[in-house]
Amino acid sequence: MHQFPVTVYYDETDLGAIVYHANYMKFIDRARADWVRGLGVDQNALRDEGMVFVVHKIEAEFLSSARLEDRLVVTTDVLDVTRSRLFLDQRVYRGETLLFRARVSLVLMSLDGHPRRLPDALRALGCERVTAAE
Amino acid sequence: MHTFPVTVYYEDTDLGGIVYHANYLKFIERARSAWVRALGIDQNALRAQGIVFAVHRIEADFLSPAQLDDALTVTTRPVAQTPARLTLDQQVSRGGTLLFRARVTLVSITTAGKPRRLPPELLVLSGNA
Repeated sequence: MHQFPVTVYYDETDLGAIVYHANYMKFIDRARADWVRGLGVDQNALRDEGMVFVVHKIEAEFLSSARLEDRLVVTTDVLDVTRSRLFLDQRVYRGETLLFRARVSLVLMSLDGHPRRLPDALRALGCERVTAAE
Repeated sequence: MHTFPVTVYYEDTDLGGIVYHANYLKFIERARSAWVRALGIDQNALRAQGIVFAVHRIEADFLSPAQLDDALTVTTRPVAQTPARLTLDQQVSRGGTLLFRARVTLVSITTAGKPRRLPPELLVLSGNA
């Protein structure tokens, strides 16, 4: 499981005095960027080769609110990996309290919209999961 | 069904050359604001009474990308309601092409985070309020 820290700043809050809901999507996106970087995947190099990650589906539950100055942790777990797709479980915690939970499916695509083979470092995660289950 | 126009600006795009995924949530939120305003709900007045809307759940499908200068339409349609929760079907289209679709569940909370009944003007589905 990958962990990524986020501190809530003023520009992320709304008139409800809580984190604006769409900003959780940015928090978990930053965590994904950090996660793939840690696996040796260079998104700028991918883009230079004409490939980008595209979000295909998100199922998100907003369970409790985060506020200004909160220290949050985003966790990222792999649920499944196929040739072109990643299925992730991402959660946002403040201490032990679960605030937000999402299932995210991502596709690596060419700039003209065709699915592309994921880098080996990501494909290997699918193999590891199979091995771990055996 | 409520419709709301959105034009894609440079700031809405990402390095993929398309609209950044989280920005669809902003587009449909603007459409919800226009919709509740048209129903006679003043969100500033609600806030002054200590009540705000909060998103409880979103299920979103990103079907096709939008690009710079696209003229999009957001449609908003209530599909389920209880006194405390409202579920909307919101879609983003370019011409006849559906690009994005979401089911959004909204609740009302106090600024202290306690649930409250939704404003009655919002419960527009007949026979279910």
